[in-house]
Amino acid sequence: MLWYDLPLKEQNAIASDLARRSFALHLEACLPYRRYVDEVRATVGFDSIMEMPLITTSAFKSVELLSVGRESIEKWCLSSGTSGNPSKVARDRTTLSYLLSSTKVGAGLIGSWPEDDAVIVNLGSGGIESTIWFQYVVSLIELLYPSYAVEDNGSIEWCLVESLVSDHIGSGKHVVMIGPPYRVVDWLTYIAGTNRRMQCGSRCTIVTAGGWKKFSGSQIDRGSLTSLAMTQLCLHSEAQVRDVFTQAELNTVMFECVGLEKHVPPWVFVAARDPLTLTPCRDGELGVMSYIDASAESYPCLLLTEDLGYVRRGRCSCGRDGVRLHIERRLNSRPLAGCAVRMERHGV
Amino acid sequence: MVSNGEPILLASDLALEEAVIACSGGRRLHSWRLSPPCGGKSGIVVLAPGFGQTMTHLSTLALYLASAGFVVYRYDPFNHIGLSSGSVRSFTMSSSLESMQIVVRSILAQDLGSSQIGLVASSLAARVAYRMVAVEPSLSFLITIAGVVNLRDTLVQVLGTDWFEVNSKELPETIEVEGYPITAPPFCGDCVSEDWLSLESTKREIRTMKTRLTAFTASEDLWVRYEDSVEAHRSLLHPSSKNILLAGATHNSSNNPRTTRVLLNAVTDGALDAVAVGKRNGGEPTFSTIVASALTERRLFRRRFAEASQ
Repeated sequence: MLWYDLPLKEQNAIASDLARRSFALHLEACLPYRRYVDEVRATVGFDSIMEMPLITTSAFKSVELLSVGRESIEKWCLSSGTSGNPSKVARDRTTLSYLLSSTKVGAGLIGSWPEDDAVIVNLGSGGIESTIWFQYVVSLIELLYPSYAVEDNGSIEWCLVESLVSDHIGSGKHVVMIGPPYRVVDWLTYIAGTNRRMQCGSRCTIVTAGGWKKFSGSQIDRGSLTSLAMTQLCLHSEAQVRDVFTQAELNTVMFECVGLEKHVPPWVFVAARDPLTLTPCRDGELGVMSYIDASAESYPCLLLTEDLGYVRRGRCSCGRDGVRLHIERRLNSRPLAGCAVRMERHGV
Repeated sequence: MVSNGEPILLASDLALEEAVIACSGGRRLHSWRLSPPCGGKSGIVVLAPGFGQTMTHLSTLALYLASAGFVVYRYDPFNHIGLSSGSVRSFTMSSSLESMQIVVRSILAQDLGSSQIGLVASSLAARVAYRMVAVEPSLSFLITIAGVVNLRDTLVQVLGTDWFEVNSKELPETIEVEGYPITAPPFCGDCVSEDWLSLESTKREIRTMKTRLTAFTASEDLWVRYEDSVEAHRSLLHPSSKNILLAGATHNSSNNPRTTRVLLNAVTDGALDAVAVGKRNGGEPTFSTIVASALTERRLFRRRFAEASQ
């Protein structure tokens, strides 16, 4: 049985248990986190999972957070932020293995095809040697399906992509195109510019992965992207346009199901919190997203992010029970920077 | 065994060579040979894929063993998924045994010097390996992982029905094992006529086995009862044979990276111990090496599969 087939009650119990274990592990193993927790404990104390001290994502830009010896680190992963220093996240073999196996299972939410019946068109540069988190994660998908990374030195020959997609669809394969939203928009805009629509029907799935913000700062609208994809690729259903969520500091990828909801696996304890008090929000109520990801063993993944979103629990329209998250947008200000400053102080 | 093109260099300077064995009836059996730069001073290991696995599924284990100095052979059996002849619909235990025998005998036919040869088999392939090793004294060791010892009981657990209780005329056309349809009458007929089904038949074969056997039994295996595994391995002839319990492991350990790693190291150390080489010189392959090698092999496999399908 896969995790997304478990009843909610069971998923909740696993998530709580793993969050406690994760906290205990990193409290013991990560010195900067222990010092930070000691300081917090001295002032407020904490008894429940919701009171466990969290690390802001910005702390990963300035503090080296390690829960294992440096010699065990196999990969330093960088965030692909558009400004400032990137986050640097240390992953050991176990942490990377958990990422790989959970990605294999989670990808089943998008779809499941025999290996030789589908191809991945990666609208990026690919390469498992990449230190950029999103590129690295997408490149791992080649272990599941044949993949083509179509970006070369930052640019893409869209006419070649068009031939690639059309050839594979013509030979009866399912084409999964994965890329950041701006790249997908570029692709669809190219098709629109050719004045010929691609007859993909049910044989194509678009998967957006990465930020919805452009370098210019403007936001890409998901509805418009879906509508453009439906028109230009002649897709049969809006469910053929999915999104996945992860970030460099998280060790898990959240995949959208056919109901376009991102399911959260039970090794991640997720909560939306009130931005001022950090108390938990109700189901569906907008708050600052936080995660305790127990699959990260080489660094403390007890995160307070800069994303506003909400959490839903219970039966999804896809029929599965469980926890889902929705990211609305980035916070406009940095009210949470205090934690990062404190982490930074204890990092050296 | 005919080599098929130039070796491909994987990460860590390991060389991957493809080979095809031409067999009766125009059938072709595909195998891969992974060898370390030193030429395999630890010996030779043959990896037999479990049901529903191809050579690519054994990529990491092959890498561990080759990094420890073994020349590692893998193959795709006849009538199974993978590159070799025959569809998985025609799978039988005896066709699986035939493939294993062809590969092992083709290696034994080469000039091997003083190299020792071992066999590592998991799940259903382990049941086949018990029979193979019982009659093949040239093998130095056998390592089984979550080995099926009571086939009838395992099939009941997997299929939810005991198809050996019903009259052969009432069998469905196909039964589905791990997502693959197998034509039921020949499969079930072979299980009965060739005596594959019972725990007793496995025990008989293990009792006659003079080869050193190391069996890894998963404590949380829903398809192989722990007590059956203990019972089957009770009468081991070789003084160094043992049945090792993997606490917390399930039938398919690949779902749990931590258990997988324990198993990979245990199998590698077990193989080294069996050939009396002792401890490994180098460490484990890194995650990057494992992923890079797996990707290279995956690409090769897909290319060959596409060529074979044309």
